[in-house]
Amino acid sequence: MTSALVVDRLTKRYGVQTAVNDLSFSVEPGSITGFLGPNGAGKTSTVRMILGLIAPTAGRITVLGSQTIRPVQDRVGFLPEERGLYKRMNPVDAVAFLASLKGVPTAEGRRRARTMLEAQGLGGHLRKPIKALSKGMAQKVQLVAAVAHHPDLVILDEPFSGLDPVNQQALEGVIRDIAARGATVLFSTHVMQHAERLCDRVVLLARGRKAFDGTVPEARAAAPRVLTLEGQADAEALARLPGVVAVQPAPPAERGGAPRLTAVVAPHAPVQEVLRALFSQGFDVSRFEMKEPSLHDAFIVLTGESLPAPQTLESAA
Amino acid sequence: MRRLLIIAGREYMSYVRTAGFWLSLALAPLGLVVGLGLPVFMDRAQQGSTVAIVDLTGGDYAARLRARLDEDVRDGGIQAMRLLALTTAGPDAAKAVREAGGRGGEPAARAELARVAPGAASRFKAPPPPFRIAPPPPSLPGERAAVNAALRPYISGERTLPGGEQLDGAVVLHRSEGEIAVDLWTAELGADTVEDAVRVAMRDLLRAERLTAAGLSPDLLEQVEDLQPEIRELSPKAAGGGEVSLRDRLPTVVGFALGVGLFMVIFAGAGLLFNSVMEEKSSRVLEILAGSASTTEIMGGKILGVAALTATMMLTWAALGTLALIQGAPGMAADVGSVLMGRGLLLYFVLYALLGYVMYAAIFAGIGAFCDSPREAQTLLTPVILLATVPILFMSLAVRDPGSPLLQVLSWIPPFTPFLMLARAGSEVALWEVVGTLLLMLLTTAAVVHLSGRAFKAGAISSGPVDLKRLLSRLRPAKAA
Repeated sequence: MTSALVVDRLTKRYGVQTAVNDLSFSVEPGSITGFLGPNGAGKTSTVRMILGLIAPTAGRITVLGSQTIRPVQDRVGFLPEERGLYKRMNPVDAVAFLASLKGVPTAEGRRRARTMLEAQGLGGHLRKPIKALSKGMAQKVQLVAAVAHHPDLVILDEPFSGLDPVNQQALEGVIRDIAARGATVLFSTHVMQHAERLCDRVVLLARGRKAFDGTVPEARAAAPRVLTLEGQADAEALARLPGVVAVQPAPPAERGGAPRLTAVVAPHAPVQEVLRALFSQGFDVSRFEMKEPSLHDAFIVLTGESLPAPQTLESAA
Repeated sequence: MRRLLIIAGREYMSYVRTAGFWLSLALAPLGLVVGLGLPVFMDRAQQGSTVAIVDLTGGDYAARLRARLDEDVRDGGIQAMRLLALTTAGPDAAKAVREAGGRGGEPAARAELARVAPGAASRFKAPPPPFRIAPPPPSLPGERAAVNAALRPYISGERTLPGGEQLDGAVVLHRSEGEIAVDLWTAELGADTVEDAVRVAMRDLLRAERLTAAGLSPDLLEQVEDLQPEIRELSPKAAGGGEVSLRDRLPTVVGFALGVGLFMVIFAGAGLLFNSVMEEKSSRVLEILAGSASTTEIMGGKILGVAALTATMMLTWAALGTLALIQGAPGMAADVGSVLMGRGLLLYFVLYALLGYVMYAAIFAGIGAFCDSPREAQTLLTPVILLATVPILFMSLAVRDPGSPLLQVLSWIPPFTPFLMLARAGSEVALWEVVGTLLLMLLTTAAVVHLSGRAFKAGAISSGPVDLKRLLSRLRPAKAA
């Protein structure tokens, strides 16, 4: 099957600064691919090159089988990082106008706009000027505008930024729906949780270079796991067990509780072997807990960079 | 092309749907009517005023001044009839009315007007006198200072004339060191209608008196007053190769008017476009559009949309103006029409307007794509605005001295070409100059569109403040690795 998007040895320099450096990856049709990296990693520059907004310094991009964006422009949907719509237009007109640029007749565009906006809970705001809508509502309008022409490839640049956690969750549903319709989705983000829940594949980017390209489990497997042990255990003996790369004391789970140790298990090392060796050597362990690494952990290991703390429902409340 | 037209349509409708568009469409002609009619309204407002003449000279100056003022009013009527004849039936008719008035006064001029322009004569109303002369207040003292003191309460409105009428002004004729002098009272400080009329009438009256005293016979005096040398203006450029008529001057005037009109149209359109691009840039709509259409389509669509809007307004105003001219001055309308069509001015206007608009619109759009705020716009637009004022400074020279070498040189500088060439076009500019400047403009416009397109593309997705240096750096082609 031909890839929906192929990025081949792509480089972009702004003067002496290299924003994207020899980047290659491909996106399979019908998949959801996360394009991940901290701010300034080169995600937006890559997205802009894919869309033909800026020219690459070197490299080649194939979009929906075409070497240039122009012939397939109508089959691509795009949500830019910085949102913008005509403030005095109403949502239906705005969506229909942008869809008409993609070849959808105005009447059909308006029909689709109404249906999709109503599905997004904006049925009561169809005739209001966009400047009268809340930021979250305007972002929904913009997302609808990006997909109203039923594109084969949808590129979303930081689609979750600026949304509250409830709307972030709703947007995840929308992205799944787009993929369920058969479209290919590439979205950039610096929040790993969304990618973890949504993506078939992820491409990790750090300082303009690709740090990882694969599935989420593959990415996670690259990160060490943490085994927490409660009971009487010898830290030095524990550290000598096969696969254990570091051991640290941890505070008891409760006041006056049993002492605890955390053992960092090397990536790909079988945790069962560690546990088996633990018990066979007579460690007095009353409780153990294995924590699988998150994509966030994997990113730090794979890129050597830290990411901003993700926003949670609790922190947002 | 499809996307270009869609963007143009949205641009056009976004303005047409606003109340501001319809207001400006209606208010501009209304403003013109008010502007043109304002002097008439102001005159009419003062026409209701009442003025008394008090004569302390011991002579009959009051009666003579009144007679002279009446004569001036009649002369004004003849002048109005001459103008009416000129605008409705042409210069020959105007000359006939003036000569008839000179021979037989106002009745003869009216009869002549009825002969040369019957339609205009039927609706002609003689201009009313600028003010009414009333008898002075009763029981005024005979001494100047006392008279002035007695008049003050009448002028200030504290007292009225016996019939209850308000006195708005007074002319006190007296002698000062043996010479006739005037104290002029007016209710309003700025009102000068009475002063102007009295000054002219008294000057003529005293000159006539002095000349009569020197021995000039009344007949000779009248002849002297009516003496007006007939000046024939001749020029090899005149239509008949001889005498210069108003019709000969009309092309220059029309060309100048078209140049000024074009300046206003181009900069009004380019200004609208600039604001539209800046709004889309600041609201990030440009980046959305850039993901759906090419730079050429976006910029071209916006330029076309605003051009259609400007054309709508211009054609509406032109149609209204033409109708008004045909109704009010059919003779003038026919002459202007023949100048526009006969000398190719209309064709030149269309060509220079087209190229000039596209050139300036592309520059404004390219700059607008970098501006998020009016402050940034001010910084980047100032050089363009300064450049644009140059043709305005030189356009009047095109009327006075259309063959000026300086003007000829400036006409070849593309940013000035449309305005200066149109202003000169009424004065028989050589065809090679027209063709040459149009070709140069075509090339310049193509280059400007190309460079502005590049700037527009870079500006559409740029962020942060941009100065002129950075903007110009974006015009350079990107280096390949």
